This record gives sequence, C-alpha cells and structure tokens, in this order.
Amino acid sequence: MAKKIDMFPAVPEPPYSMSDPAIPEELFTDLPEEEKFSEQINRPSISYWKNAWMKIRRDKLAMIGLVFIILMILFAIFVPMFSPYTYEQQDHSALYQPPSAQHLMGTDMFGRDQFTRIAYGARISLTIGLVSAAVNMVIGALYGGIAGFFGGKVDMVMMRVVDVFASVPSLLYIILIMLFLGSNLRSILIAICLTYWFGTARQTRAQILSIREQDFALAAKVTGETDLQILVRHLIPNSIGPIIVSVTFLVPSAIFEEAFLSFIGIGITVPVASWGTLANDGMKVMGMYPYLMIFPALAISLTMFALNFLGDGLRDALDSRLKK
Amino acid sequence: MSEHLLEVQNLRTSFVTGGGIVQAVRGVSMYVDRGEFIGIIGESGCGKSVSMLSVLRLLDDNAAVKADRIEFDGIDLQKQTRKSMRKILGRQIGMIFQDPMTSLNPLYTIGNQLTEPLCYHLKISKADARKEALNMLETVGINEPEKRLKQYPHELSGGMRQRAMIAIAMSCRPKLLIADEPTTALDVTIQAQIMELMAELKTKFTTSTILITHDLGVIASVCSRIMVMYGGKIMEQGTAGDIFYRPRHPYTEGLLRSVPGDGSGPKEKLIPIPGSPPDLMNPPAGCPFAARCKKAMKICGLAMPGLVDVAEGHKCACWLLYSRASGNREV
Amino acid sequence: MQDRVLLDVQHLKMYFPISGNGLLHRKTVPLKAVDDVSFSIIEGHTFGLVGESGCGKTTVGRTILKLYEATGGKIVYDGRDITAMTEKEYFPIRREMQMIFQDPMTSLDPRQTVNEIIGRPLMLQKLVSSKKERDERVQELLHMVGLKKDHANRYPHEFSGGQRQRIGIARALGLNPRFIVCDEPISALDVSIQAQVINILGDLQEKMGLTYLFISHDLSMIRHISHRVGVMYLGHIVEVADVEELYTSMRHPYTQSLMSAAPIADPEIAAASKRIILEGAVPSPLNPPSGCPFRTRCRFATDTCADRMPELKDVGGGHLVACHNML
Repeated sequence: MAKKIDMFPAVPEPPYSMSDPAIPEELFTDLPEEEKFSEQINRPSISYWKNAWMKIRRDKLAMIGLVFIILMILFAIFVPMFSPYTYEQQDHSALYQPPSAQHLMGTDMFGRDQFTRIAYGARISLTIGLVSAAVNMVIGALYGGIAGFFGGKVDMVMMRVVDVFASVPSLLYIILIMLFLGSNLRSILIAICLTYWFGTARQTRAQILSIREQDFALAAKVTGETDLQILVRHLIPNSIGPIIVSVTFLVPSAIFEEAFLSFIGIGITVPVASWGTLANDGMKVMGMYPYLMIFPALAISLTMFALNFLGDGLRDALDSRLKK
Repeated sequence: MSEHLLEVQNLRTSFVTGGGIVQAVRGVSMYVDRGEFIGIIGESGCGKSVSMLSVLRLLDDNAAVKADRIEFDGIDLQKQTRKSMRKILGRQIGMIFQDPMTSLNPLYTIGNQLTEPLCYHLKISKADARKEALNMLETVGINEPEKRLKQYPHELSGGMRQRAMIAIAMSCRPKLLIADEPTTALDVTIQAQIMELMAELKTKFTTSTILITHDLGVIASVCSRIMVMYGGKIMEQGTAGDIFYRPRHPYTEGLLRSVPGDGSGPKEKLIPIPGSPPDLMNPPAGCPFAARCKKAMKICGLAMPGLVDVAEGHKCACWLLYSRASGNREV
Repeated sequence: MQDRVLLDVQHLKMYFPISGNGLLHRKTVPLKAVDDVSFSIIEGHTFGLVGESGCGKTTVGRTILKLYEATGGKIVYDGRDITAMTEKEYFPIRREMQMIFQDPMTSLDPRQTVNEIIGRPLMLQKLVSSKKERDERVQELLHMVGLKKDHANRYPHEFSGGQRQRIGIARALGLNPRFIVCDEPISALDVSIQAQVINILGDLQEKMGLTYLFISHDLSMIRHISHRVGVMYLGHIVEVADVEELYTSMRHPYTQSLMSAAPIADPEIAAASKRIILEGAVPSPLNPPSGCPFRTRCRFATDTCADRMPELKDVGGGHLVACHNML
C-alpha cells in the first residue's frame, strides 16, 4: 500500500550560513542567466484524462469498485461459457442443494445450478446497465446540448417537453411498454432508455449554458470560430467529464431498476434468470434455503456498491476543475 | 506570559494535492504586539494567507501544520482542541476575509449573524446582544442599522457586506483581528471607505491587527510594521518607512519599482520583475527569489540566507548583506 | 504622420433585457449597461476606459467586438460601419480586432494545449498553410511574449497567472491585429507580473503600431499606458480628456473622488493626501437615478442634476465633461 507521505520533506542543511566567515569568493559572482529557471516548468505535462486517471488510481474505493466491475464482467462472459451447467438445465436429483464443490452456490427448486444462473443474470444486468447508459448519454447529451447551445425559444420548448415527460412516474411508462412489447430484455431496455435520459439532458444543458459564458468561449468567437465550431471544439469537450459522471450513476440505477421490475414480477420471465428474479425466487424459500436469497442479493448489492464507488471516484476526478 | 500577543516560530505548512506535496509555508517566524497594526504583503501563492490560517488552525484536512511554537496571549494554540479553538476564534481573534459574500451565511439575516457570536461567546441575553449589534453596525458606519439587522447578505452592497463582516469580527472586542485581503474584491471608492474604517477602528479599540494584502497602496498608509513574504518565506520586515524608502531586499525593491509612480515625473518604463514565482511543489534549495533576481549570485542558488538585522527592527534575508558580498557588490 | 481615427464609437447603447417575474406575461426591464457612449481612438494610441465594476466598461469593449449586438449607436472601424454587419461580412475584420481577457484562468480552454490555443486561430484565418508552418509561428509568438518553445505542448493549468496571460496575448497577436481590446488584462495578476504584461503591451504598440482600448479600474496603470482616458459611471462617460489633462485638472466630481480614493504606494504621500471618501455605493443600473447618474453620491448635487442628464461639453482642448456643476 501507499507509504505514509512525508508532509515536511527535510530541508537539507544549507552548505553555508550567513555567519560562516569562509565562503568561497567564487560564490559571490553573478548567477549566470541560464541557471535562472524561473520560466521553467518542472512538473510533467499532464492532460485532463491522464490527471483524472491518476486521481482515480489514488482513490482506493473507486479502484476496488473498478476491479470488482471488471471481475464481474469477466464472470458474466466466461462462467456461462465454461460451466458444465446451463441456466435452464434442470436436475431433479439435486434439488435445493446447499453450496458445495459441484454447485458453488447451491441449486434451486429445479436443481438448476445457481452459480451459472447468477452469471447469466450478470449478463442481463450488465447489458442493461451499460447499454442504457450509452443510449442515455447519446440521447441526453445531444438533446441537452442542442437546447443549451441554441438557447432562447428552442431551449425553452425543448426543456418544457422534458419537464412534461419527467413529471410522469417512470414506472407508468415502463408498465405500458411492457404491456405492448412483452416482458423481455428488449422491452426493459427500451423502457429504461426512454425514461432515463431526462436527467442527462438537463445536466448537459446546464453545463453547456455555463461554459458558453466562459471567457474562452468568447475568445474563440473573437478569433473567428463559428458557433458550431465552438460547440464541437470547446463546449462539448469541457462538459463531457460531468456528463460521464452522471451517466456512471445511471448504470447502477438501471441495473437496480431491472432487478426491481423482475423482483415485482413484470421484468424478465422464466426460465431466463436475472438477479431480480433470482432474489424473488430465493425470497420465497428464504427461511429454509437462505443461500438462494443471499447470493443474488449479494450480487446486486455488491455491484451497486462497486458502481457507486466508481462513480464517486469519477466525480472527484472529472467534475472538479483541474487544480494545481 | 510572553510580551507578544501572538508569537509564531518556524511555522511550516504543507498541502497534499493531486500532483504532490506543496510546501506553502516554509519556516515563518513572526510576532504581533498588543495594539500593533502589522501588514503581510506578498503575491498570490507566497503563503501569506496560508500562514495565518495555519495559526488559527482553519485549514482543510489535506494540510499539515508544524511549528516550534504558536502562542497567542499565553495560550499554546497547537494544544487546543477543535472545541476550545472555537471559543478563541470569534471571541479573542476576529477574522475578515476577501469576499464578504462567501464568508457571510446567505441563509441568515445580518442580525442573526451578529448576535449569535455575542450570545455564544459573551453569554449575554438576546436583547443585550441586539443592542450591541445595533451599536456595532453604527460603529462601522452602516446606516439604518435597525433595518439592516433584518436583511440578508445578498440585500447589501459589497461595501456594506464587508462592513457587516467587520462588525461581526469586532463585535466581541477581539484582541487580534486578522484581515485577509479585505478590500481586494471591492471597488476603489469602496476600498477607500473600508480602509478608512479600519484605521478608525484601530484607534477606537486597541485591537491588534494583521492585514494581509498584495496591494502596496493599501498597506502603505495604515501599517506600522510590514513583512514581505515570497515563496513561503519572509524576505524582509521592518517599519513602513524601512520597506517603502529603505528596502534592502531586491524583491522588495522590485515590487516597489514595478508599480507606476504618482505620475508627476516623466513617463518612465516600468521595471518588471522577470519570470514567475517558484513552484512550491519543488521549492528551490536556495533563495526562492534567486531565479528572478537581477543581483543573484551563485551562492543564492545554493543556500537560503537567514534574516539579519540591517537596522533597528529592520530585518532582511539576502546574501547581498553578507559581509564579504557587500564589499564588492552594490546593494 | 496625420492622426487618423481608427475606431469611432458614436452614441453606443447596449441594453440587456432582464426578464421580470410573471408566468405568461414576461415583463422585460432593460438593463442599460451602456447608455449613449461616444469616443474615438486614434490609430497607434491607447484609450483608457476607467470605472468601477458594473459601470459598463467591459460591455463597451465586448459590444465593439460584436460579441453583443448593440441596441443603438454606431461603431465605425477604419472608416467602415461595422454595427450592422453580418457575421459573414464581419469575418475578415474580426482578425484585425482582437481581445485580451481579464481572467487568464478562464480565457484559455483547459482541454487544449498551448499549441492548439494559439495555433487554432491561425488555421481558421488561413494565416498559415500547414501544420508545420503553424507550429513554427506558435513558437515565434511564444518567444515574443517571453515564453519557451517547449511550453507549446503544455496545458493552461500548468502555467502561472502571468504566463497564462502572456499566452492570451500571443493568441491575440497571432492574427496580426490592428486593434486590441484589453479588458482588465492585469487586474487578476500579481503586482510584479502586472508590469511585465504592461511592458509587453507597450513594446508591441511601439513595434507594430497597435491601437488599444485599455479597460481597467487601476488609475495609475491607466495613466501609465493611455494617451486619452474616459471615465465611466453607470453606463455613461462622465469625463474624457488627454491623459495628463485629466489627471492634473479633472473637472467632474466623480473623477476627482475616484482619483483621490486610489491607494498610493508611498506612506508619506498617502498620509499627506486628502481623500474624498464617497458615501454609499453605485446605484443599480436596473433602477438608475433620474438625471445625472452620479448625483446620489455627489457632494455638489443640485435640483438641476435630478432633472436632466448633463451633456458631454467640451471645456477646451478636447476635454469633455458631463456635469452641471463642474469643478
């Protein structure tokens, strides 16, 4: 781990002091111009992204979160590929097995291997999280960017539309979409994508509005850049950090939303398993077979923790202005 | 009890930042006597504000402070807990900051913010505190004090806010007032008002004052003793006369020469100090000013000179004052 | 050489609509940031615009550069009326009219390297034809403002305030401008650095014949750098004169108190000088006083001052004053 930082680097004893009677005469000649380094910058040049990465690396919780998410992704990709079981394969000779060497997390009421099912659940959850975040970022950033950039009436109309949509509870949309498109992964994705971009749009708009007033945007105009060039070259690069942060926090919300919908029974349907349905199934037999509840619940909560830690770290690294 | 009101010896303050350790204050020793009005002048990042905040223990967690001694009115400030420090701040030591808008709480009325410390520190009743608050507002030259008590900070102009801030800082009759760039955020005409007020208060109450500023003009008229800081160290200290008319340090000289004169003479070219201040993440081994100093010698890059007496109460840290240096070089 | 007027500002007005409350009926109150301001600048000279914060001096500078659309009046640059020009018509002139900003922290895009910041305008205005040429020109410009070659690949936050301000100057210079609006270019800098920037600006004026509109609240610097000075108060110019004339025989009570309030970096002179301390603060430009804007703080205010706004009158030698009771 990081060693304790020495806040007060020892000052080397000066080779000479004022009371020293025998300082070599030579030292009292002019300091050559080239040895004066006042315009020199000793620090290494670091870009915004490099600096952010350095900050994240120092943030233990964020690093733990990042490592956990990477492990979870690997888990979701490889476990189903190499597992001797599939998520739907039933084994009536091994119902409700407690965790063992054969079944690392035990089996459920149909003898399905829970470890494999959780790995499948991870695929679903992570897909939902990442896809919805990506879609939200694009829609939200574009929408908010356009509103913030054009301002005035365009902004007014666009943001009122957002207000109207955002004022209706998202569960209502989601249930409606589920009714029309059926309960499956695709409709959950569509539902979440349609309801989550409002926040990103509002935030992007606010970012663009504030950066547009900064002097460097004015300077760009004075030197002859067009409005579109200013948007692409200055406004978007400068607002991307906070947008990424807000989107990072969308990932856990989306994953949780799916788990919640599946848990209350309107999400993914059997035999496909998501963490939410697993937890729901486990809850029914929680008293007798607590491991059926505990493992999916752990998967959900640890992933939530990890993503939130990572999001916090990203916010610290990206959201604040670069400081000396 | 020591004769000084505040005495600081070998103060060092460092910050942990993204890039590494910044050594903002590197061995500052100073004192303030009772009833004295002293000034600390220096450029941004020279450690003038940080050194005062370190003394008052008002820095964030990413700062570390070390000193051989920080004594205020016979109390060792380094030994105080957070709680006992709170009792001293506001009661014995008042503070005024650069931006009154950020140091006043926008959620409370001026009256609230004035009476609260009075009740807390002096343990007096609400009614008495109100009376005292009105009295204080009048003292700092705020008109219609009754009305102002009920107003929120944003309803006052910048100058008024700074006056209110001064009223709050002075309300408990502190022994020491620390004013950190109190006029920097204000317009020239308002600046003059506030400096006039501070000079008035100096004679009215016998509070000692430390004025921190970067503005030579602000410090010239009010301070009896001035310290010049650069690169986290004190370079020169002396009376206003010493500093303005008999500066011995090339940095002080440079500062004085880089502002235009009163314009009565012919227009001369300004003589700037070339270069930029040192990076305190990698502070130079020798004199921090050596890299920008016209008179720098080889020794300046090697070792930091100590503060030596050049006259009664006038100290300067420069190798040019070394007995053998002054012989063959003009100071 | 005949003195030639490069920039002529006539009766410039810049009102900002400030929307009041109300759900359906939005009442807009005009904020008269600049109200009937006229002055002209001779080519190669510096016009100093001085005043306190909120007096509209920055808005004047920005309106001249067409960052805002003027509400009224005319801006004549080099004989051409640029007030009503479209963005396209104005594009070739943009290059000639540049700006140096107050805050070197915010005027450089934090995500771009110095090379991009200075080089981008060169490419835009087609002053260089290749990347290589651009890089060379950037290096040359950095050298002109006393920075080093290897600074080109660094980001703004790695520089000190003074260095950043010099990068801002290099950016403006790259376009070979003839006229530069210097909007408080030194007020965010340390004393020892201010002189560096002022000297660079002075040298460039000498070498390239630049014309400056120098906006500042620092009276001594204004005196040092300007040929002619205008004093602004609450959106109006209250006094204009050649620099020495203004500093030695000011006629407007506001100018007088402004001058006397300026801090003097000399203990004896400071102690000897008498200060005219103004009462109160600048009124809100949303609700300016009737008549003369300064009358609420003026020692000499009479009823006439409340009735009508005094005109700028020439009191001789191009010294203009707007006051009913001039000193």
